Amino acid sequence: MKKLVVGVFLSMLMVGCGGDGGDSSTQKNDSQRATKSMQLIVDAADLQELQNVKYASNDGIAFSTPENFQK
Amino acid sequence: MKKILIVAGSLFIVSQVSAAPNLQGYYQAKELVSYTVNKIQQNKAEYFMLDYALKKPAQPQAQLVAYNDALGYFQVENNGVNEEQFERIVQKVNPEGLRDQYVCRTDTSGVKLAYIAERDESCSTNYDQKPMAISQKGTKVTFFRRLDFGPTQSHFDIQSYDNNVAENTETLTLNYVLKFEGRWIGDSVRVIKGQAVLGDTSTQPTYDVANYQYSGPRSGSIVGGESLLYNDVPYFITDNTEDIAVDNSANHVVKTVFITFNEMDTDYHGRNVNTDDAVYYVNRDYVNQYTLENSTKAYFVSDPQTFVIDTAMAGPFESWVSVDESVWDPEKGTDQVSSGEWVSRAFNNTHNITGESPTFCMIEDIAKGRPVTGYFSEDGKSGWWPSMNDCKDVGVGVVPRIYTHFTNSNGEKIAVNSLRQSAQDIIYVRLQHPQGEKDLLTLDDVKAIKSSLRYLQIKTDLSQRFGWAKPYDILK
Repeated sequence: MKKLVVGVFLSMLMVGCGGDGGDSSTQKNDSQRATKSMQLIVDAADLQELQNVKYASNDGIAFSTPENFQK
Repeated sequence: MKKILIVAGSLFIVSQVSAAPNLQGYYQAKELVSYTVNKIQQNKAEYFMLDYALKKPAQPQAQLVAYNDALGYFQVENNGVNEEQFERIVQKVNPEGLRDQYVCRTDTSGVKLAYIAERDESCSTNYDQKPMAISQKGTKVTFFRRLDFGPTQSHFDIQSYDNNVAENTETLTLNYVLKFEGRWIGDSVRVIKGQAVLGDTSTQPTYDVANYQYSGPRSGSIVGGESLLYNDVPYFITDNTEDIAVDNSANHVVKTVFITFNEMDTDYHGRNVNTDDAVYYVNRDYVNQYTLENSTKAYFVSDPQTFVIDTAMAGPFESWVSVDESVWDPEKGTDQVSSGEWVSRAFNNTHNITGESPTFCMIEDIAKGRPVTGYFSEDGKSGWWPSMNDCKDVGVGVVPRIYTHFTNSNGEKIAVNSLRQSAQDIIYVRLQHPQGEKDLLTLDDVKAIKSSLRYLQIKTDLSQRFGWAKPYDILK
């Protein structure tokens, strides 16, 4: 269930960075750390528990992934 | 026709498919939308105390919010939810969320703001210096995280959830922005859940999803540009693909298309298009319903189409569809190919392994529990794509490489045997709908998409942050 989206996007910045010297490794490092920070921590069982929890602020419970987007 | 591809070359082409280099069209929406939806669920635990703090009155100084008060409120409002399980999840997601905390609660222009603060701290609206904040405007709550990767490299990770009961819609957004070479770049996702009444008077949820990515102009060999991915009409999902919405406000998902309109600022060298200027790279994915061997329904792209042309919208273009096999047809401009591309596209996108791009034959190996064998030139630089009809017919000087796992784009290792059922499913369904039967994209189609009200409206909505002084702003 751990997924990452923006790391995918950030990896775009890495395309062809190899020849650019020091910046590329810094950027790559940031990208890897961003990737780590973006990973979902909850698993499928947690999501099931969370599904019916209400936000205190707006009383919503949101929704689960549309059927066609589930794996 | 067998193909030898330069490995680096194929990665480069994949990277050009969209600003998110590893996933394509509909499958990219699948990853982004499920991430966004799940992140909003995770935020219930991650922002537990801040969400509760929004209920508190604004004060000029930091106020202590007691964990027991938050939990007491939770118990009253969430009958039937296992409190211990919830606390376990809070502990896992944000261990600091399980204790009393000083919080700043401020009101500004009709927006409620809260952020974690220090004892005796004077409160302001300068939440953007804080690691974590939350805001509420009407029915919309917005979550803010600042990630500092060094003194000059801050990333901002924003989500919002609007629970609009009056209009029966729920809207989730995800924004990730950072400064790169002096410009704000990033990613913006929106998922709107609504509802539609079908002909049989049942009410079904509808979904409207979009993703905008902005990466600025090219920089050296880094691809620049922007892209917008969206479905052409809100959609619903039912087993019966003939269902219709009585007011035509939505279509069955098999009657929608997912469009990705990329403007790619990079050199492009294809069969017909060879240019150093930016190109439009447009995907149109027709989605279809497939029935797996165990009778459950699954959704894949039946016709993944692509069109490429210089941004001048004139001159040579490319227009193709990815299919398993095609015959040579000079009229249609098709080659004789049998590389099993439909299967590999569906499989590799589903598992986010387009970087390693297992071939049809490797996917068949997985399905049948055989050693998963890829073929490469002796120097390892070129991959060999065998015909799906003759996997053993490999070229001279080609060496096998056995795979026990793949590494997906998140850097996670996936054991090939864990993919067996999925490989079997995709091969099982591949001929349930014709591949490549729809008319290919034309220049007129592309012009019509680009000038359509829907495209323009969604692009305006999702790109607006990049024009703000603070694209991460949660007070608007």
